[in-house]
Amino acid sequence: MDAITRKVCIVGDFAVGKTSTIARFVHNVFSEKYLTTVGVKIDTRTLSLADGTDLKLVIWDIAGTDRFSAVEFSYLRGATGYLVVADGTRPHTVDVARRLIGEAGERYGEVPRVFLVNKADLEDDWDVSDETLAGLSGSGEQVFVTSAKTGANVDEAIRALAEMIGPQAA
Amino acid sequence: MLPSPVSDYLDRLEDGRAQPLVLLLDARDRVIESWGDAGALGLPPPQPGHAIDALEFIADLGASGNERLDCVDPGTGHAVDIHALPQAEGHRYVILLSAERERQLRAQVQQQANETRLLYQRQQKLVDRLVETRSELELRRRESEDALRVKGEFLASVSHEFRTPLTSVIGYADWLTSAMSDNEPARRQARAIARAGQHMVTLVDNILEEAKLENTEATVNADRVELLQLAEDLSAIMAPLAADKGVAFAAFLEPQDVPPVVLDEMRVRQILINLLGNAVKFTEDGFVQLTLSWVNGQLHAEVADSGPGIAEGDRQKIFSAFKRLEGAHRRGGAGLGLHITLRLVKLLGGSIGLDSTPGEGSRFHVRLPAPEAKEAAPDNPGSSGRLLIAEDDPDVIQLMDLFLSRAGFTLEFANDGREAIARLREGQHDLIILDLNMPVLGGIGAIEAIREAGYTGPAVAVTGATLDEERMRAIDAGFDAFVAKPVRMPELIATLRDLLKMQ
Ligand SMILES: Nc1nc2c(ncn2[C@@H]2O[C@H](COP(=O)(O)OP(=O)(O)OP(=O)(O)O)[C@@H](O)[C@H]2O)c(=O)[nH]1
Ligand SMILES: [Mg+2]
Repeated sequence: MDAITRKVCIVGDFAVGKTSTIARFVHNVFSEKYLTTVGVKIDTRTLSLADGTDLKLVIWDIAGTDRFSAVEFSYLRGATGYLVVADGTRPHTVDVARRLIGEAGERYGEVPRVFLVNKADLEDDWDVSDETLAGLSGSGEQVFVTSAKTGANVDEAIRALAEMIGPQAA
Repeated sequence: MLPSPVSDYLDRLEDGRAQPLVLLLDARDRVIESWGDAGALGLPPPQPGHAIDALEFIADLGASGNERLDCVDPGTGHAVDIHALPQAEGHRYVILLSAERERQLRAQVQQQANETRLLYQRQQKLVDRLVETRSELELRRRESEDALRVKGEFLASVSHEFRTPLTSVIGYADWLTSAMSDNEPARRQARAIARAGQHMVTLVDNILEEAKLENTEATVNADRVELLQLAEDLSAIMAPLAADKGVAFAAFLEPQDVPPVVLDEMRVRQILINLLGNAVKFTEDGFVQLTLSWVNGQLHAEVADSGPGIAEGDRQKIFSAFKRLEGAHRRGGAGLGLHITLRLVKLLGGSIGLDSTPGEGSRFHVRLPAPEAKEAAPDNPGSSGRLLIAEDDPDVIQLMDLFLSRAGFTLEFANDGREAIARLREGQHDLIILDLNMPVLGGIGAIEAIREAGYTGPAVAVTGATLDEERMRAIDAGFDAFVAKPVRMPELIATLRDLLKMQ
């Protein structure tokens, strides 16, 4: 039986680690070098969900932005889930992520999502307080503190989203 | 030849890009027909009857009217713009145009812009941290100032604790000495007790002075000082200490008939006691000598000894860093005294110098402004007056009783402030003396009530606390004078006489 396919978009400010997160998730690799994404890049990976069904995620890695324009909205159309990413060493990227969620919601309605606060390995440079994280959780976000570099929590975060949008949930 | 809907569409698009890949797909996205070179876009050759895996994501493109996606990398590494033209029966044309050139151009600009913004943000963060660190340092500084103040208050209260019992120790010793004739052997012991007590007061004063100087709350008092008396007092303290070590001690005043001058007496004493104490401490044999002279409104004080002397390098150290000398360190105790001496001299607006020849001795010379005091000292042997004294310490009561009655005063005692108020109502009193620190009602509360009730006579505060702040509070509350513990009875008597004379 063919796997069920779901479109997922990964969004957030520039250089928060969207591409790195997907590279870790899909290819299990990481690069320190920053190569900004232009437009959108599509990747896929099939997961086995908890109930045994396979789910093929078609992941749209959208160029970082602090505000969606028409082009980005065209990328978001039809997405069944969002991976929302912020950079734990740049607190304002959390605000940007929140704003992007709001903009997407206004355009396409609420879509299941998980919130990734990335670069957890950069402990000395970490600048997002526990209160901020608690605030996010408190406002209903499923928050994962991740590291694309070490891989910490990356699978967990994306699997959590997959479970939300799998055939059972649909 | 492209199908006409496609070429019409491309014409309308006015897009100059050549070689589009055009696919005609059926309702299930299988290829019906294709035009152009898929390979040039990094895609496999389209197989009629099969879907193109890499383009799976365009499944719903065109579902709601004409739609396009710009700059999509379908995972081939080659960016394309994708346009969909819906046709009948769920078919559609899909047009793919290479966006690779455009992507590379935008990538350069965007890469540079983002890296610049990252750099800027990182710098901003560093600046923020710097500011944070600075304000943290500022906070620490304030905390340490607080700590310093607390330390000062602690030292003040410790000195208070010491001063109160010392009042009785020195007072009784003084009294014993004066009550005994010269040839009574116990007289020497009594003097030794008084000396030891006085020495302790000096130590306590040094510690307290240090705390005050650190708090920069030190203010200068203008006392009326008889230099002869000062020389005699210092002699009385130092001569026995020198004698104990077999060192000769002498004090001189030049000329002998100096008028009374204005000086902060306690601090001048402290300066000279510290210098003399050091001289005696470091001199093993020979002499220690104090010379006071009054020149052009200045007190010149010279402390000379025949001790080991101080090497040139160490002399510098004494005056620059207030460092303890190596030798002094071994003998202990000189550091704080010298340190405070220098600061006190500075506080009083004076100067200090040192000549020394190693192996022959040292000579400290101090100059302090000391203008002539306006009025001459009143010669007023007998005293009279009814005093009301509120004091809770029985030892102090007994001492005052001894000295003040002998000086001719009539005394009445109260145990606390409230009792003092009651007694004041009953009888006639010329002057009241209140301890500031009493149970039930302290001196400050009592004097306020007493002034409130209309008492206009003189009032003297007695306390172990010596902070200037405390003095000010006492004066503000309605006291006319302030006497510190341990109370030196001759001083107290002089103060009382002055106040009563002014009545
Ligand atoms: N230390 C560390 N560095 C990371 C992590 N994730 C990403 N990076 C680095 O952050 C930079 C940006 O990562 P990308 O994945 O390209 O960020 P992006 O969100 O895709 O950026 P745009 O495509 O410009 O929006 C790169 O230099 C990465 O190596 C992480 O978890 N830890
Ligand atoms: Mg990227």
